Amino acid sequence: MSMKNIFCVVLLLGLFISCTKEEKLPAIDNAVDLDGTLINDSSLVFPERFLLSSAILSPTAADLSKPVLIAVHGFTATTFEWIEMRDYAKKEGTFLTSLVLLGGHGRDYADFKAATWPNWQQPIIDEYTKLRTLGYTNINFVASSTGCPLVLEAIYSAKLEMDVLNDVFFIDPILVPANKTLSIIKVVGPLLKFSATTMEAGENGFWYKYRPYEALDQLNTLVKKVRKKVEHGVVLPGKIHLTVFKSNQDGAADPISASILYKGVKHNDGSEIDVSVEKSNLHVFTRLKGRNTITDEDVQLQQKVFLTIKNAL
Amino acid sequence: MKLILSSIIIFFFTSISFGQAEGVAVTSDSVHYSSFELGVRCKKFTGFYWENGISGELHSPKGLKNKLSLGFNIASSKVGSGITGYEIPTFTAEVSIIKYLRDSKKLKPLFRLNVGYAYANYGSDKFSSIPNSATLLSLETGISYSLPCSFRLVASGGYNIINGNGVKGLGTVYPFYGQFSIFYKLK
Repeated sequence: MSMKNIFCVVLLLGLFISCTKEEKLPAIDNAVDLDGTLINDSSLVFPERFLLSSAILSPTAADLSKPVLIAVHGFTATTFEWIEMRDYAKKEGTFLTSLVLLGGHGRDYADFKAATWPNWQQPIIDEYTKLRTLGYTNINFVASSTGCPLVLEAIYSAKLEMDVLNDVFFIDPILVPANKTLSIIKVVGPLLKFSATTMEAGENGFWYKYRPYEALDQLNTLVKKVRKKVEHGVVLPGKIHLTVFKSNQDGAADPISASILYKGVKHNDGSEIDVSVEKSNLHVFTRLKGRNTITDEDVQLQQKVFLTIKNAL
Repeated sequence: MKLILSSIIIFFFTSISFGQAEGVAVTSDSVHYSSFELGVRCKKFTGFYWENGISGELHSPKGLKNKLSLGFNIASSKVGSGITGYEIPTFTAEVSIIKYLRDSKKLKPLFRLNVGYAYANYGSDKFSSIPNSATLLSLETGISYSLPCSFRLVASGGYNIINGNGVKGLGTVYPFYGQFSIFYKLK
């Protein structure tokens, strides 16, 4: 085949692809999938069970004296990711939790597709601001996966008033995706339209199963932006103390994300952030609920991290 | 994989020695003269770091029956993305086999097979359980353009057949990359 023929075939293929404009939609099962229109995250219906600002509209002095932990979930997840932390806090009684649902999450495929990463981030800023306005003086964050760059970006971009922000904990932060194909999502995305994930039975209805390429593109934009910022150096303002926990066999967020944070982020006094690389093959190892197989080591690790967080607050 | 790598390295250095001998042996008016080029290589992973360094190519007519060239690349993010920031320092060393088409023309398409080794320094023993080195195997294609005064430009794109997700393989090795090189003919 001559070069001219090859060129013609490539040109025709390109024209064919560009003419295939009809929207390719995933096979969403409304009865099972969060992506459908029937199932939503519970925090949208009962915000008072998840958001502290909705649970206690007029906090007492005793309420205000307690530390607050705002828990932020990851990409495609819901508040379900931090339910175990909420239950742990209730049992311990020494700190309060507020579980934030990211914008565009916990709703349906169309909402997820339309949302940008600043949309995902906005409920974090809103809840922190409400709690600060209500008078809480010791507010902290725990974030998982994509929640981590969202919180970090809100901090270094001064989207939060820092005076009452103390400890920040990152669980399996993503600054470098494990699946490097994400780096070419702008090229392959328009052809693929979406990607489907395999979930364990207990996870159905709590995570989006289908990932529109627009959302993957937003994820890629966010992690690249935050990684580049960190690689140019970030000094945490005020008294913020950052602790990173990273699974060493994380198949979703490349473990080198923790190294990039360790090198690039410093506390206000110039000291290094705390990083702990944990022996685990789970992504967001603090969430065990909904998983098919959990080992004793998984439970011990989860409880160790919960205890570390409780003691630090 | 280690066997392949060792074989290519041995083949490469044997060919350099052979090529040098050939260079002495052939006369200056020969149209099939051995040449060695040294240059600068700037490589960018799609969505990740710049890795810059040096690159060399040996064109030896008898040693390789005038069909293939041999090359090497040594690059690091320390002289790329990491010049000014806190990027993870990465180091790569590769040897290559290169096939040029339209050999007598100034503008030549090329195909290149690279085999090598990559290493990343995470900055602390805390990260000792994360893979920090990997074997490299990549395919590259692009164009070469010969300039006057013994200079030559090469632009190509490549695919790392072995890339990493941080669990298996080195997470700093992304699948796709582009590179630009400028060579100067030393002999």
